[in-house]
Formats: sequence, structure tokens, C-alpha cells
Amino acid sequence: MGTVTYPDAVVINYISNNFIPLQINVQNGSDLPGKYRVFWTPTILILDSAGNEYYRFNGFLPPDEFIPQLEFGLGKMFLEKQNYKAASIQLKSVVDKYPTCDIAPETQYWLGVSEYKIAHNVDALLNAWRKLRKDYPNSIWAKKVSYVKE
Amino acid sequence: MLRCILSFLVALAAIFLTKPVIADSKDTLSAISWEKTFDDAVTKAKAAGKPILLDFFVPT
Repeated sequence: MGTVTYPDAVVINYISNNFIPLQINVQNGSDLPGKYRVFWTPTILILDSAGNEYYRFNGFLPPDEFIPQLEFGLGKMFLEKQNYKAASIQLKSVVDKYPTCDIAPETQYWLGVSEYKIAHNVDALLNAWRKLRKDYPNSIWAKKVSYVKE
Repeated sequence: MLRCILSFLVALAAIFLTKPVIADSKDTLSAISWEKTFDDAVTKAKAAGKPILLDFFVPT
């Protein structure tokens, strides 16, 4: 991450504009790896401003997959905080901007959930999930909605 | 003619005066400015209204 992804100008700008970045060397004796149950590096977490965890992933990612993961993580944070409109906007932005990235199918799944949660609109949920099956038929997320009728 | 020369000199001065400012702002984005402690990150996150991106790493 430190030699490829973090020096990337787009990554620098995205992180600087959207996060307070905190980097912890797990070999320095900090209690944070234990607090956040870290057993492997890199482990990347999205926390709210109080330090509550909302999203995590492990392992190296190149910039073109790393940024969509971060944007998706923000969407999941909004969703878990029950800010469904913000979640919907954020998640839709991810699938619109990065339709071929690896996180796109999962994003489409949760986009359906967030749109349903806004007004308990079942049609919005089903339409989003039908789009998931159509656009990402080989993903595990399509299998999760495979019971939905056409 | 005098007005043209003055305009040219003003433009030239503006270029020399603004160039270091542009270079400075580019420098500030040449790397991620990582916080080193949790408490500092939380303080800044609350002040800025931003979430925290926490990266656990080992030096390679």
C-alpha cells in the first residue's frame, strides 16, 4: 500500500478530502490492534469521528479498487447509521462511477436496501436487485437475490 | 503604449507572486498526512466532521 496505492495522487486527494487518516504500525506496541481485533496487515477500517467501526477490509488493493472500497465503506456507514438518503446517494455514486469494480455487485445490493429503507418502497428494492442480477449475474450477490421474480 | 507596458509588468509580477503559492498547495497534497495517535485523529475528526480512515500496517 505504501509504495503503490498511498502515493497515488487520486488516492491522496480522496483520503485528504474525505477522511482524517490515521496509520498505526502494529509492531509499535499500541493497544489499537487489540481493540480493533487486528490479526493481519494491511487492515483498513472506516470509523466514525468517535472511533466506532463501520467498515473494514484486508489486503492490498490498487488505487482503482481501493477508492471504490472507501466510497462503498462510507455508504455502509450511512446505512448502518440509518441515514438512508445519504446512503442511497453514496452507494448509487459508487455503481455509477465504478460499474466494473469488484465492489460494484455488493454496492448494488445495499443500494436496493437503502432505497427500500427510505420509504419502505418494495418496488425500489426489487428493481435494484433485478438490476443486480442483470448486471452482475455471476456474483455471489446475484445469488443472494436469485429468489426474486423477474 | 505606457499602459501596455504597465499591464505586462503587472501580469509578470502576478505570475512570479502566485507561482510559489501554487507550488506550496501542490506540495501539501504530495502525500497523505497521517495522524499517529488515536486521540489526535478523533479530535481532528470531530472538529472536521469527517470519519477516520485507520490503516494498520507493518513496515516493509
